[in-house]
Amino acid sequence: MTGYFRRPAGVKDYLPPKVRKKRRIEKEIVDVFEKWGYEEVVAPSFEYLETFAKTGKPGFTEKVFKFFDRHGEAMALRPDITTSIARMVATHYSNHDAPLRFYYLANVFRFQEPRKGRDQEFYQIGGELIGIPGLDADVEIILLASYMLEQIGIKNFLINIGHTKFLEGLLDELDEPVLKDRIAQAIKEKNFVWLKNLIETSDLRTDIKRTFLALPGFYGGAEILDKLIEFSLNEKCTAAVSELKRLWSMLKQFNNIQLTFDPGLARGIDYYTGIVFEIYSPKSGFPLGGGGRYDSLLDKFNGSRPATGFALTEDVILAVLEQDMEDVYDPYYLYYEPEQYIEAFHKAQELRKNGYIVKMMPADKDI
Amino acid sequence: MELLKIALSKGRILSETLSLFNKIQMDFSEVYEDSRKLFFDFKEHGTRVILAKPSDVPTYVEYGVADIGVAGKDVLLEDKKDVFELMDLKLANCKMVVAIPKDRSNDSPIYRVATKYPQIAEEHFIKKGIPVEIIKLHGSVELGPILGLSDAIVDIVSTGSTLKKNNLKIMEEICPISSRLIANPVSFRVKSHVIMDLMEKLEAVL
Repeated sequence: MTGYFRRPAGVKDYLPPKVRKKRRIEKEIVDVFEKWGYEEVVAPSFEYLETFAKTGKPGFTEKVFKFFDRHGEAMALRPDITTSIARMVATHYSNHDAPLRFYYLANVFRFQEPRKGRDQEFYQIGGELIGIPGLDADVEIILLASYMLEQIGIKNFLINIGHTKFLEGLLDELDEPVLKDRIAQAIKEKNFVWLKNLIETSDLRTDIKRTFLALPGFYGGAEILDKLIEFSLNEKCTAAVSELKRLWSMLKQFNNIQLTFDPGLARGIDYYTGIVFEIYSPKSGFPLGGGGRYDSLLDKFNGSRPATGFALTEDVILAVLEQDMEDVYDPYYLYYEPEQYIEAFHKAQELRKNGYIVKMMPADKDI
Repeated sequence: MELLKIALSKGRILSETLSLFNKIQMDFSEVYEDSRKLFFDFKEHGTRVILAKPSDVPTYVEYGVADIGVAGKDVLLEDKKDVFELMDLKLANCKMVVAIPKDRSNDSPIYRVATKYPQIAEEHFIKKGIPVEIIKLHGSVELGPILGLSDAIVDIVSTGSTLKKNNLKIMEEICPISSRLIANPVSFRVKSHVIMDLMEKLEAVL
């Protein structure tokens, strides 16, 4: 009889060969974090729903797995780790002035339409740098992510950088709230057809129309930043572009990373307040990871602190690296007759002391 | 150089799509449905054409096994995927409509709706604040009102002759439908030069 037991959609079983590869990648990443002065934190698997609801926009809690505790309070399985770290920092480091550097390896949970074949539980590895307001922190985070990917053997990845304030600045020029929401939505989904439609049928000023219609083309290398200045509609946009330029002047000194700029880049979670980025590999249809600055997230936990961070999606990285990784596993099988068990056990311990992986096998069993 | 993978919908819009690409000097004339081949490489212009069922095109693109694709807006609305909608190719123009039997008045109540597009139908009636029961069918939805399965249907209409033949009329239009050029979010960045170049060329002939 074949045994088939149901498993919920969007969760995975990791069997030993895959876990070994997963752990090898994790170990290399952890080594980098440790050398860069980041310290590991472990966040709770669930928090009060209100903790996560503080950070997201209204629709966000729809993506969260919810349940009730004994007192009927609404709880949520963590959809990300950054929010818990913000809460931890507000709780445990409120009088701490020096910059904090944390990293984590954790599974997170997001509700997905079951039939879509997307993961509802997935693994993230991320780092947070809290307490440095300047671009030096953004540079550190981007270089750290990029160094890490290089270290684990990912090639030809591309870091795509945007700035939330550029888009915000453009949207500030729109007065009509419904149109503004729709345009923001169209830009976020990169629905250029809808965007064009919304702009062309609106009665916006010609220069505003021109900027929004040009938006889909704002993507490319550093040369795009000069073009962007022409399209800046106000102070906020200009400030964002000049910040991106300053970032570029620092990052271009590291010629081993491939950078592009995309001012329309909008990340899934809504707490970002400045430079944001995503990392792509030609070998995967999904981003390897991403991050950015989230200066106001800690405000929500009454502890105003500038912060920036990133997370890598482990499952995507594993999928990219897996084919070329060899599964190294070579245990020593020590066979014994039942009456020789004690003797065999001592032998096993001796071999283990010499660095072997030893599996004790009753003589009548086969591998 | 890696090929740009383009997923195209099989079926009635294939020939229209191919002739559009032909206009920009991308000759895909080897591609035809009866050949049983499911993908075709064109090294000379760096592309691989993948033939797929129309409703599967966004899935291939979402997972990145195809970089870009041509998909109907009906499919994109029904099965929301994480893909970028780059251009309206203005092919296979038609409308998504609510249709009812010819002899019924436009304000007669609707309780049951038969459709191949349950998502679109449900969203439409929720927006209007009308509670309806949606019945999903896989084809010949016009049979719904004839056999008394439903009061109305939601379907795409191009010339309207199928409706007429089945004694139905358009009660209201939900939205216009046409083919869209879509892209995988990562491919759009990693292969941006090729994709933007293609968009420019297509824009010029539309």
